[in-house]
Amino acid sequence: MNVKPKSPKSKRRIKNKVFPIYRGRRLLLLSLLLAGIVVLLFRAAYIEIYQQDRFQKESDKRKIHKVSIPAYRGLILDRNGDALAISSPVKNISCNPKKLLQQRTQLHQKAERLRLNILAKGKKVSRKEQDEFEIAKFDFIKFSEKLQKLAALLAMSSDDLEKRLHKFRKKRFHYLSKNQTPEIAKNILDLKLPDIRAEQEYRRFYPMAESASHLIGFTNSNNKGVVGIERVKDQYLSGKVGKKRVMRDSLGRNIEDIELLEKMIPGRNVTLSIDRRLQYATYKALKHQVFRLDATSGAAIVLDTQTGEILAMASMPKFNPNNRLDRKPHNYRNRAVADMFEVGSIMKPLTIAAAISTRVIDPNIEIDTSPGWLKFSKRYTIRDAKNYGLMSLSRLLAKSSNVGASRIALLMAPRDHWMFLNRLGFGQKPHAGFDNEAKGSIRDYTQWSKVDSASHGYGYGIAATLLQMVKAYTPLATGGQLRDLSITRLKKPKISQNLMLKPDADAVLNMMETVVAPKATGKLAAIAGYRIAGKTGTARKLINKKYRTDRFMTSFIGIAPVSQPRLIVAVMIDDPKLDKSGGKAAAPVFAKIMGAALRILDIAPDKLPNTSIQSSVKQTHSATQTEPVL
Amino acid sequence: MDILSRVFRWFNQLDLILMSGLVILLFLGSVTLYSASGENYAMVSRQGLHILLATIVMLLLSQVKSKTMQSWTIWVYGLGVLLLILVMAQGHIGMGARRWLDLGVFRFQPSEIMKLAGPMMVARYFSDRPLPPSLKDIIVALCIVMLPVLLIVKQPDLGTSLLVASAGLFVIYFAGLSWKLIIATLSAIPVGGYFLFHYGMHAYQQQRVLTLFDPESNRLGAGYHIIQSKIAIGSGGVYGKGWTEGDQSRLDFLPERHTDFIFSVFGEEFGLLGNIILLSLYVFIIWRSLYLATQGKDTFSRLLGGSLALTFFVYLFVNTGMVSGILPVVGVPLPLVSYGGTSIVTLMAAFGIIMGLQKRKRDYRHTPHT
Repeated sequence: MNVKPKSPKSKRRIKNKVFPIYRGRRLLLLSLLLAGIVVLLFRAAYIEIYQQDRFQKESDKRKIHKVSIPAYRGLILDRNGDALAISSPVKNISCNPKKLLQQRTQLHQKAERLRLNILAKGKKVSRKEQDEFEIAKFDFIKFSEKLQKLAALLAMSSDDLEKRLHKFRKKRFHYLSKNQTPEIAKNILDLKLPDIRAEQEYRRFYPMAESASHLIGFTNSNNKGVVGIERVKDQYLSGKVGKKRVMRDSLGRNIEDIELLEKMIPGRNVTLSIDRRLQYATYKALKHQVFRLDATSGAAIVLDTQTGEILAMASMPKFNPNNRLDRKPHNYRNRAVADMFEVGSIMKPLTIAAAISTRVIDPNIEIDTSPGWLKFSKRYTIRDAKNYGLMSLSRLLAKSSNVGASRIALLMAPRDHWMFLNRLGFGQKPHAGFDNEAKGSIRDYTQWSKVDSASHGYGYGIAATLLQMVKAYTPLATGGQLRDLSITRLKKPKISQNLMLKPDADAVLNMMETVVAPKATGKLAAIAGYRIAGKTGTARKLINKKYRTDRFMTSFIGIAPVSQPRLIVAVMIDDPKLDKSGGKAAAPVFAKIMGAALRILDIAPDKLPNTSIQSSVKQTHSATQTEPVL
Repeated sequence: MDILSRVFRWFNQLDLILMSGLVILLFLGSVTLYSASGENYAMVSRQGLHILLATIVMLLLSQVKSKTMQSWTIWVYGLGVLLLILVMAQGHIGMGARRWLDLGVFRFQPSEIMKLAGPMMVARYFSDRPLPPSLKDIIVALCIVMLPVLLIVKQPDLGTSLLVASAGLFVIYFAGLSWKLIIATLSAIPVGGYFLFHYGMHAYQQQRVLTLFDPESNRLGAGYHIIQSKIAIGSGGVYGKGWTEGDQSRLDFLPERHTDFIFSVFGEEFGLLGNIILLSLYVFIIWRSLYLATQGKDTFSRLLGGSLALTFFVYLFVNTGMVSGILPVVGVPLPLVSYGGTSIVTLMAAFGIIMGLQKRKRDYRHTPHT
């Protein structure tokens, strides 16, 4: 470069015309400049070659996340395809409490520091400092306002949000809210608060609400079935959660899917044997009675005798599965399946059936029940309401004679009696497709004393669930076929075992018809136009090892129409405070449910006036009983 | 005829070699900006307008002769200082500091003027004095430099004040500051730095300095910028991820990615190879500018030209140094690449001045009145 050489030292101060570009200075500067560039290049090379792997990993760590794809949970449908449980898409909102609070504290501290600074300086404060403070204050206020908006969107008070954040202040992840609608989730994300995320989920809704809740159960917040059908069929319903790698931006929003790791398989639908209309009618009738009598609990079942499918099943106390606060074990227990009770008089038809099918008695015999009591020891005496004397089997049922039932039970060998009950399913789970089926209790016949044999005859000393009782009654309705029960709709009926001969079964069924006759114990169960067979049950409750004489477990099981049985309806009402008998507490509920069921299923009446000739032909001796029963 | 010859003269005065370097750099900058802005066309076209305006300013200034420039100097400097004081009084607040002056149509930073006016004034001061300068002259020159610098520091704008100071100091250096003084000053820097750190800095500036040495210490706070920037550059590797494929910037992890941290975007997308090309381009421009400065026909031209060329280098060094984590984050844009109108206009104006100050051989032939 054409530069003039540096002037000699002795002539340093030369006036004018010397261009002050010194070669030494220029070279020094140029070398410094080059050194600077070299430093930059080395730095770049160091970062981009030497540390590339590390930074690439860091970069991936920040942007690439493994997330699960929630599987769509299958529907639960009733037998006609109406939905009982559905899943709808919702968003779960999560945050990073640590980061949120940290950021706010930083903003606050900054504003506070500047404010103190201004206070300390008093009037000498400069405009710039004032402005800085205003800006810091504004930032802080804006952040706080965002948090308030967040609270409002989550439908909670600011204080509550504050408490939540404070409680989890050391956590980096916390679910602020689950099951938000997609719109609210979007509004929350639009606040652009740091690390607030929304993840896709499905929420379960139960259109039938309380009326089918005990049966269907519900899922927990992780979408896993925990109670009822939701639990039993969980694997079937839940499908398989998929996994994918996604790219997220700094606000945690998903930008794109990178690869699918595991495919999501949606859950399959479950079709229950329930009929939605019947279910509602059953629930409504049961609820009404339980409230009216101020009973502790109640249960009801409607069974299709031809297939063994459960058409309706209700329990009280009620609970609404759509409301999480309602989900208390006391409320959601499916009492028809899980609660066993000392069955009481509804056992008597089965005792008679056992005796007839073991050929100990003939359906036409008469039993002497005088003097109205049966004494085993000083402490144990079986009593009837009064001395009925000699009575036919139908009258025995109509009057619900304990002495008569005991006498019949005592006629059988304990082994035969036990065998019959065992084959009916006592002491075994019914395996109808519920998760919490109780198996009841019945002692082994080798341990039966005479008293046991006698008391089993009228239903004491044996505990069973309502579902087990319904199952045990199926042979009476089917001409001897014991049906396997099912809560899911069956494509074809299961093969049932033949438990007793058809004439025997029909004989017992016909005896039971007298129970519903006018002035008999079950008269309130009568339904106009239909022949009904049934049995009331009023069992004393065993409280503190003593049978109470004022508190009862009332029940009714009935079959209709008798000429061609289609349905079994069982009702149990625990501890009614009024009308403390099976005939008064449970029988009216039966009538309501059975009436509705017959109507809904369009089952032809069999006791219309113009069919009376036909039915009178079919009548057995028990129906000819003209003497009114008490 | 007259107009035609003037137009011709513009191109005559234009240094085509320097100009071609600038054009390539501006083009590269716009391409990078498109990616850094998240493929935002509006932003790139606004930047295009800035470039157009800046080029016009450059062309105009390249016609101004040294003498004319010297006669303007005092006014430009005076106006700059006045505007700085005005900004202090009622500037527009942006990004937590008073830097902007709202002129209705557009806003601009008066501190940018000082990047030119500062070295101009010092060069003007030395131009009719014996060189190397006496101690008194040096002190006066220092005062000329420090007045605007202090005003800018107070805004507060550390980056710009640094650039204005270095531009002024380069002039003094070129004027012939004695080595003794240089060594004395250099050794005083650590001591001065200590006091500056403890008494002269805002907490946020202190924080920036501290996180420079240990950015990992405050990953979510002040260290965030540097870490994200290093990740961006580092993950680019040798060949880069490709244009608009930089995830760090695309996914919003990189802060200020279209302004101060645009080098990180470039590094991520074009890799080490791209960096080498970019830095080579800068070196080429600086080398050519310095060469043109040595061609100046008087003291003023040479001092000013050299200073402006070196300030450009400081610009580059501070920006790339800060985004790659060897210098504190002080808020200096990458020259001619970062988004921002004022910065580009000032820089192009400086190149215009450098071109205008060189000897005009053909001028003497064709224009008898000079």
